[in-house]
Amino acid sequence: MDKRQIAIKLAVNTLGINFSVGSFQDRLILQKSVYLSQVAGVNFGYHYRWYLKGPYCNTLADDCYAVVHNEAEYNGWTLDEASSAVLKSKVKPLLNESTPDKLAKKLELLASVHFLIDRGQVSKSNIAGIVEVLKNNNKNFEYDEVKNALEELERYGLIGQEQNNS
Amino acid sequence: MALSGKNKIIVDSVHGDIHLDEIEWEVIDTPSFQRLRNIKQLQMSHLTYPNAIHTRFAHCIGVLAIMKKILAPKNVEKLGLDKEEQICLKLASLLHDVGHYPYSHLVERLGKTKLTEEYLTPPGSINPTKELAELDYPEHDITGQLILKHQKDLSDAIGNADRAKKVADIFTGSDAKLSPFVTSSMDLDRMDYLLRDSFATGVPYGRIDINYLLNNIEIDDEKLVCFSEKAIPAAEQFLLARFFMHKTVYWHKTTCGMEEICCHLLKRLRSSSKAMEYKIPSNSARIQEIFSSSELLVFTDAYIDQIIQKAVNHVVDSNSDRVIPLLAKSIVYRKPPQLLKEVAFWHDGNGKNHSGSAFLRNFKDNINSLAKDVGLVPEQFIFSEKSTRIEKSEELVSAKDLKTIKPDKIEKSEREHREIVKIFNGNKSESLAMRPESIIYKFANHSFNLYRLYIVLGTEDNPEIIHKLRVKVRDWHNI
Repeated sequence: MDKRQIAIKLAVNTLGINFSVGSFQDRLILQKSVYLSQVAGVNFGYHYRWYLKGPYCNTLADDCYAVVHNEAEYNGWTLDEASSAVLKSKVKPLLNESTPDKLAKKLELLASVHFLIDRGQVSKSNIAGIVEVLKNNNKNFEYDEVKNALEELERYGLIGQEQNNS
Repeated sequence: MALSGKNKIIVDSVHGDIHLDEIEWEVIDTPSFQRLRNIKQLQMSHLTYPNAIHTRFAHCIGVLAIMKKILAPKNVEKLGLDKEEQICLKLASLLHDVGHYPYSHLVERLGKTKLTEEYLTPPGSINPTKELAELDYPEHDITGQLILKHQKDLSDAIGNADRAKKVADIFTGSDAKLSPFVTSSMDLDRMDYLLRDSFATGVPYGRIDINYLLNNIEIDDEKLVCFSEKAIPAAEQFLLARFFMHKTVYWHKTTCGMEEICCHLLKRLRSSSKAMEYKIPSNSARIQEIFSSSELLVFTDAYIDQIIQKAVNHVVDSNSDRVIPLLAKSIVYRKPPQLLKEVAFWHDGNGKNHSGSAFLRNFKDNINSLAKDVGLVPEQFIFSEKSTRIEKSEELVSAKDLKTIKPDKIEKSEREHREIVKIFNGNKSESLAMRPESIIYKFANHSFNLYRLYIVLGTEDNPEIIHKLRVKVRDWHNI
């Protein structure tokens, strides 16, 4: 594994997520967790693009497979304290959902909303507009769901953060 | 280029006559775009295939030509694109590679090059932001975005800053509506480069049936671009072509070896005490400065050639520097590294123990003693890891999952990734890789991997050492 692959493995461990590429849902959870980690300031250097389920990174997808294939290689490595603290305070609280289905849906919404605002495609003050853009991209989220997502992103300081290659 | 009143025509060896609109001509005529004439499409393949000297310039115009064919009137109506969107799509296809680095992906991926000593680094603490994000160079679509924002010649030619931003959004994947046209299953980029690289190198495996594919485009009810049923064989061949071109051209052992040497050389120079003298961009911030300023125009293959030439006379002042002159001479005098061992394997994502992992493990465990045995240093050994998939998507369910997953879940997940090649089926489309009769189905979610171990001896031939090393590493793939 290279250092970046080791780093995402450590980060995902810190977030308390099972590192798996076994199902589509598992891979979605990984994609969006790493995206939000970068937004929070723990930057692995992945660049995300807009795909059907929101922000997605090809390189990260390849790296996730590499991590699973070479899992023993991260033994002995640790994430620096500052990065761990950021993940625990700003990202981990977003992940408290009861089932993987709900977690995946929530992460898809959080990451998509952030991406669209960050790229200037929508304004955070126009919730109805955000709902509309999401619907146009086959994401059916209700007004209240989007409103709650915005509130959570703001609560943890993820909206209005300086964007670094997310 | 032939002139025809207000319409310009470029005569291209791959696509024939390419008619350019005025705005496209003005964009091509800018210094920022003309820079691409001095960046080779295939990096160092010309050291193996002498005619592989075609440029990013020609490739970009080729991708524009394909986009123009896709935006034929019958498709435009179904796609629901207005005139401005069509202009932006064409400009995005023309400019998708404007941000390329010298020697294309070779310099772009410098941060990901793994030196021998990095394989042997004991575990410690990692700070991602400091060690990874800052040292890694931004991808070329991000640097392309910087060019469109900061290079006035281009933004003027495009028309205005808003349109320039929209064009950049399209090719960086940030435009939710239009980006998928550029990165869709059609993969215009791949269509052009397979044909162009095949033509230039003389290797026939990239010769896809592009006319048949473009004549059999359908648009489904989700406005996704796909192929008709009768184009399935052509679509299968399109996916397989890239695989075979990887095996014969992009991953040719000599080309691969020379490119690895170049990456190792540049990475060592970047972290050496003399890095400033060589002017290798030290980090992501420096790269962004170059792409945003007038320094862009000299950031071409020649920029790297000068560094390599200078490194031939590098004065060694540390252990990690000792191989620098050796690496530089290998490139300048075309002395490729010798291949000691190669392990090729397919991986379906299951199982961690395979011949590749065994090879890598043996390399890490034994490289120091191997080097000592023959009186060399570990830095002269290069381990190369390559991996590719026949079908790009990582979101496909595997053939194994198909047996247990419900049909509606299959549809939802397999349509996830817009880069999947899709076949039109009534009003909807389905992934080619989900068709059990397709050869692509068999390879869904499998990666082809190639691990190689090279030795760099510079300009000295030493068959005895080569033979000795090959015997010693012969069984390193055994699990």
